Amino acid sequence: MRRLAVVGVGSPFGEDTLGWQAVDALTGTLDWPGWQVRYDKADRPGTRLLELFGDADAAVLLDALLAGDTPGRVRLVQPEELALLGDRTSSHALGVAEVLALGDRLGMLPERLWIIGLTPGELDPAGLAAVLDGLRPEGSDESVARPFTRRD
Amino acid sequence: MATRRDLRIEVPVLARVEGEGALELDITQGRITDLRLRIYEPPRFFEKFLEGHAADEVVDFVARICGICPVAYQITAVQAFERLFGVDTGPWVRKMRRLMYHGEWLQSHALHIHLLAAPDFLGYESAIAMAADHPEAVRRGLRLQTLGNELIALLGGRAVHPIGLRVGGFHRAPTRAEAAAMLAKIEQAIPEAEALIGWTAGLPLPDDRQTFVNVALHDPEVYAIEHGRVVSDTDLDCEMAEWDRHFTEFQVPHSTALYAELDGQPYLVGPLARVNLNTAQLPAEITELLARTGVNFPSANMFHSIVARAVELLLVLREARELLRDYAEPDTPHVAWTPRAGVASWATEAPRGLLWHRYEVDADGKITAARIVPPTSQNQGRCEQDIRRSLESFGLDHEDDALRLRAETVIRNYDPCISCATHFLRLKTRRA
Repeated sequence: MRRLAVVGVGSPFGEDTLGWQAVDALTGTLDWPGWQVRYDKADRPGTRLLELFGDADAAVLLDALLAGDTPGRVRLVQPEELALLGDRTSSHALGVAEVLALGDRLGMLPERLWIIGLTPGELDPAGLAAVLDGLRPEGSDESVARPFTRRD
Repeated sequence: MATRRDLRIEVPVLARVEGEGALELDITQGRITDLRLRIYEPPRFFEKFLEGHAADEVVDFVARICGICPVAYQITAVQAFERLFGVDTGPWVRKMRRLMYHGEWLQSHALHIHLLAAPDFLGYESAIAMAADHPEAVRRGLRLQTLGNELIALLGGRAVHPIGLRVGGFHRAPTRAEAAAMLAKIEQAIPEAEALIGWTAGLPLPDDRQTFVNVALHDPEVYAIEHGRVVSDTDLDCEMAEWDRHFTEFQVPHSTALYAELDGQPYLVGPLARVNLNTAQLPAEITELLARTGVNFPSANMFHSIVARAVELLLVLREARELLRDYAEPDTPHVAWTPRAGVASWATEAPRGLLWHRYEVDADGKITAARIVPPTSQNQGRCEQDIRRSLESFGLDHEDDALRLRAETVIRNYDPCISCATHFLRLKTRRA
């Protein structure tokens, strides 16, 4: 059984709840044959994000994205767009992009990682489902956003 | 003769510290004429939020003050209430509270040593840059941090803002199997922690000895963490309830965090102060490891703080090992209690230093007034004093960037948690 980690980053309250709402909407719905799915929600996880990926073979990271899109839009984040993810720099809580860069350098990222950006607004469950449907858990897929290549 | 520059250095946002703060520095005619560690993160009014709430609610509320040291806030509050209410929680709860606190020291110290402080001493702008050349050191930091988080979660249900504590004990006791699994991980980590002492002592730490006052808890029976008397190397020795009789808090215009003084002087709290005041209580094996490094405690070199953190990291892992080896499930993880009116106060050693709480409680057990004094605010005055002395010792003729980096290194050495203190850094340096 391969392992998939679904991690929503955000806050339980206020305007940054989208990552959490998305995980709530997805919990129990992902059915990938041969895969065991684990769902987590985290508030400014910093390096704990790497703990949450753990030994997962693949991960879906859901986070708010400010890219000038229409409110509620759900889409895969491309490597060059990582800086758009919420930058919560402080010593103790590295921003998501920083933690991904650290994890990449240390070979601690899942083999396959998709980052889904959620534009602030009302969560679009259909849009979220459509993006998830497009993910390919195995095999090559040029459309897959894989910002990092795992270096062991 | 060298030209004496007039200069103003500003660090508008301090990196690798928790919260929002800045440093402003004026150098005139080769002398520091003004230095302000400016904490501008808005006040959070936590004490006011607590009024009207019951003791058991406070235990969960105060966890939200900090994502790095929630256990410190929770255990300080819960033990203050238990003392006021006359609750004898028994040995199992007392041991498990200390074990949970071990987890917090472990994760906080591992994070600071590897990701926040080491890049300064090894010449990297960040842990990410450092990871390219020192991947195994960064991995070790992350492993130890994760282990600390797991230890907190064992008793708290989760690592951040744990929910396992209650007045009278814990909501749930770990099973023997859970404790055994944790013990195996801790035994595996101890050799890494032993090597960490030599690794930190071998870093190119500046030799900058200063005179300062150390303040920490001390308990004759055990290395003080979750209880003790408040002591200093200036002969202070008082009950923790008497903290406010000896220490003075005051406000300055440039900071939203209060400053604190002992007898009109700034003072140091935190790992270096603790190790300096409790050196004799370090286990012989740790003393032997230190003897091989050439670093001696008590130390007047503030940069030995990173070695002190490594010492404490090993200390808590060793203690956690002993507590878990003897682990037995209790009949019940908590005892009954009834509220009582009065004043509840307690102090513990948060990872960053002495944390003091005081609550006024009515007959229904509701809070009518609260006061929380975190370590970062207590260290502000000492930190400003340290920056001034360190920069003067370093040499004010250095380039602006070098001065800025040294000042930031000094500040990060305290591992300040500005978010806790406001209930913090931008450097502005002005040479006139």
